[in-house]
Amino acid sequence: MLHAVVKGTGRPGDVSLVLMHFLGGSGREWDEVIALLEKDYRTIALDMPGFGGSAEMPGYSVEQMADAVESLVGSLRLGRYVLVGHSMSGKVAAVVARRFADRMKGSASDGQGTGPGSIHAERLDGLKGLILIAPSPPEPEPMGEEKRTNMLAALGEEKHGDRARARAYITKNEERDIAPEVLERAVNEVLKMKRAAWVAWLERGSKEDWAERVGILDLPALVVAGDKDRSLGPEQQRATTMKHLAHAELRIVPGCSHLVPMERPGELAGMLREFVDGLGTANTSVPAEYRLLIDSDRVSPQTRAVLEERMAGPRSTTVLDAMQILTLRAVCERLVPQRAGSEIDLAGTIAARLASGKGDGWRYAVLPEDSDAYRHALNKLAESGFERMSDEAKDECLRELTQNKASAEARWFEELRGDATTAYMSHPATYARIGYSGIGVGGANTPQQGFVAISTGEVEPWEPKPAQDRVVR
Amino acid sequence: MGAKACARPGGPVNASKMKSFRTTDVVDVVVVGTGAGGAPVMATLAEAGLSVVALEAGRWWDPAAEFAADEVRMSELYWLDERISAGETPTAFGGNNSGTGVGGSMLHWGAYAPRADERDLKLRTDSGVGFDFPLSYADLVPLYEEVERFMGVSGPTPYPWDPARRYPLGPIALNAPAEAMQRGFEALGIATAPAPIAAVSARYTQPGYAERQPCVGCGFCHQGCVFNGAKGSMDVTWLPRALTAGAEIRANSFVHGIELDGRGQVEAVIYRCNGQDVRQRCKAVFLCAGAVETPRLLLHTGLANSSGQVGRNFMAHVATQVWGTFEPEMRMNKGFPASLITEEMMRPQDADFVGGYLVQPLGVVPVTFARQVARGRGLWGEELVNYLDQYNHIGGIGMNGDCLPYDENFLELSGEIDPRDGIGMQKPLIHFSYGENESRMSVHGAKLMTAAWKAAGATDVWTFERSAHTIGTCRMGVDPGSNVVDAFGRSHDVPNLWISDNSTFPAALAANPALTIMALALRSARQFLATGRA
Repeated sequence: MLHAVVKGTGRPGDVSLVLMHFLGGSGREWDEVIALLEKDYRTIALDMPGFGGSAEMPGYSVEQMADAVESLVGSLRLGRYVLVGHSMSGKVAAVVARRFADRMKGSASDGQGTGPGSIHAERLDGLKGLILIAPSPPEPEPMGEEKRTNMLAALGEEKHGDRARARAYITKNEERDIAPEVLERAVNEVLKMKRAAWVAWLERGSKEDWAERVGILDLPALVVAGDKDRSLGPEQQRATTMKHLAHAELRIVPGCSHLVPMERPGELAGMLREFVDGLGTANTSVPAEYRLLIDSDRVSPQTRAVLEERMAGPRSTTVLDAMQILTLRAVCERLVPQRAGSEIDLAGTIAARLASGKGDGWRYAVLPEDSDAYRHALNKLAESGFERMSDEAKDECLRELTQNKASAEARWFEELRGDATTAYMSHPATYARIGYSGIGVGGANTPQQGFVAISTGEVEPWEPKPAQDRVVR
Repeated sequence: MGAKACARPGGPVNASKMKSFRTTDVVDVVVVGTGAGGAPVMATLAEAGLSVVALEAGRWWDPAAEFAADEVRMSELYWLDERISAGETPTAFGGNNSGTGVGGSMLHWGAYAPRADERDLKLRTDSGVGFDFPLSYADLVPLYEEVERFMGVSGPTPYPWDPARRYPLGPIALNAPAEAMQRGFEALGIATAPAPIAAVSARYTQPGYAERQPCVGCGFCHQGCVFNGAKGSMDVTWLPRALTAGAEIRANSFVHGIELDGRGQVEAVIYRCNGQDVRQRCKAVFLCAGAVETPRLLLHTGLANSSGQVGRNFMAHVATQVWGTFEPEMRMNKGFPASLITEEMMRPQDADFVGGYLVQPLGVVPVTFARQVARGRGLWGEELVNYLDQYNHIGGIGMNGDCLPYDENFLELSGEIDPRDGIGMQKPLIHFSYGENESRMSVHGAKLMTAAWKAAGATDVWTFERSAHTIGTCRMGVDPGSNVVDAFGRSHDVPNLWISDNSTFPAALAANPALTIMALALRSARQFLATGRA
């Protein structure tokens, strides 16, 4: 698996950013951008085969790089995400986007269900957009043979003066405006690279022609280029990459050269933020019919206000750290399986409840106060690598908690089940799913009040029907 | 200043003309808590012309403007200061049995209003275990009648298990779970009847309050009644009467101190309001804060405990439930949540336990239900999601059974500081374990209810063990050496300190406690008027 650094948590329904790097770089080129984004978004900065933390991994062709990215993204279960490719990896990102587009077309006719069983099919639907930073285009990269030869000679083989040459490669002889500490870090990353990967890209990968295969992608896209970038600047992008994107905007960064993430992290982070926010948050799919009930005069204004607040999702809090939230989310996925892309934010709801300091009025004597109990239990699960376990291993791990009913572990797990189920069951999406009519009792000052038909089998005409078929035990 | 700031009335209580005493006034009585124990005391004493100030830890509510048909939102009606639960069968607090706000936990009570069984009051005499009440059923009957008449209890006349009984209003309509229980018990040859419910089945005019409107069957009794006084909570019954008679209610006022004079009598009560301590001078105090907060306050202040019995004898009803799935739609959120009863199990012939239990149907709103399923049935994953999808087809049935007092079941201060208002009071720690008697009763009930549910057509039947209500902890009894208060609720140690709530119950009684708490509150208040001011 590719080496990747995950930062921030975001919320279910939010879009994660998968950040990929240029030739000779690594995920570290995104450090400054990530620092500006991680509070609000989940970011995954990966190292391509032969580079950074993935230096020992083989597989340098465009095809193999795309395989590696796909397999990493699949294992992370990101829900909704965008691929962000820079230079070399821009080409890889376009190829991955094409594969997903084809698969979606294939699966659309499969008749997807809505139950927990179809979760895996849903995961294909996660790619929501493409961001390409000074990308190498799907077609062979326009690069003179002299330049190619010089680059091949410059780096990769261990020889005296590597560091100076690496520095020259990054700064392009002082043309680029990169902070000194960022430059030093980038030079270190260049020196980690496998020469074979460097050569493979220059001699083959950059020359591969994927133009026909990529075709025209119709997902939302953003192309960013620096106006000082002479090889892959705005002009070259208009002539190549832009032709493959049906809905793309080209944004030009004035005074910037080729290494935009390190040269202009602030500006770029702003553009990423704008693009991702434009994709919106996934709606936790309260069906239109149930929304009509919520908006009708059967529902009192007080009740409606509560339901709307709940549909907006919980506010993010800092009561749990990123790892704890991710672990909690992984546990909640097992406790209450939901459709990917339309999940109710169970973990976020629990965290918000913990942050409010409001409990349910009691706790078992074997447990500490709620937040401490949660932190302690989640840390233990995280230490055991819970998030990365297979579903079966996760379930086994959770079953182990229940072994001794009166133990702190079992009692916490009982609390957690109660909290996760409360978050699930109190959401209008679930009310719609089960066909729950209780929100429609009106209020003291509403025209519709209570129920008339309360006998067995009696249903008033306005009462919602379940959106989900029952699976009878 | 403090007293004024805390007295911000609202809600259905017409409190705009509420009287306002000064903290320097020596009021006749301070009442701590405005629930089933406190509200009838306030009304009785104020109507007798006494100056009454009630201190309520919770806020004023305006149901029409503030109550939502939402379980999570309405959890604000629950007492959420943390309590610590220990023992073999730890009991749940919060929404299970404890409330806050002007009107106390009666804001979210189920309004199930059976009278106590005569035999339950003298369990020790009959069976040699537990404790007798130091009063008889005959003492209670006129009080029960008075409370039922005033509150507008709906129920069948004649009542099958007490033919002389008359309810002022006809029964509340049965919903689907009640019909299933009727069907199931009929198949077993066991009689049922519409339950006594303290919600009005027809318009009901009541002194001190506007006309109460009939229950519309919204199903949210446990989340607070929004419908113009349909359910008999304190804020639409005893509290308006008390205010009309000149009592004052101070909300957001948490009592944490009681000051005695040189003769060992209460002379003032200290409470925290808006972050400040206020001292209210008084001639007497009624503690009506329930079976957890009343003993907690006494242990905190160290008062009225020469018997060493404060906090002892904590009891909770055996409240096991049985659930099942029915083919037709039940939609158990609709209608009054529990509108049927059987008293046939008050002394079952095949019992291997002492005492008995009531049985009622259960309509439970979805979040509360789902929590029980996740916690009590232990379901998770797809099994959980699939089961919850059946919500509209599920119905329940539950028991409310007697509980004996045991030495190892008690309330103490935990040593852990409660963060409320920076007062520094300790959280209560409650030890509760079923004894052999409770376990046997639970098994008996579960077996019977399972049979009834199967006879009614339920499949996928499962049992959920739980306990309900908080009872005991400041026992009433004649002997000062082994009881906290006398037969009327007056402290054996501090003559002008009275207790009126279910902490004084020597026995749990199988009946849901609120009606008896109100009846005993009237008894205490009248005794106070007769003798207490000497």
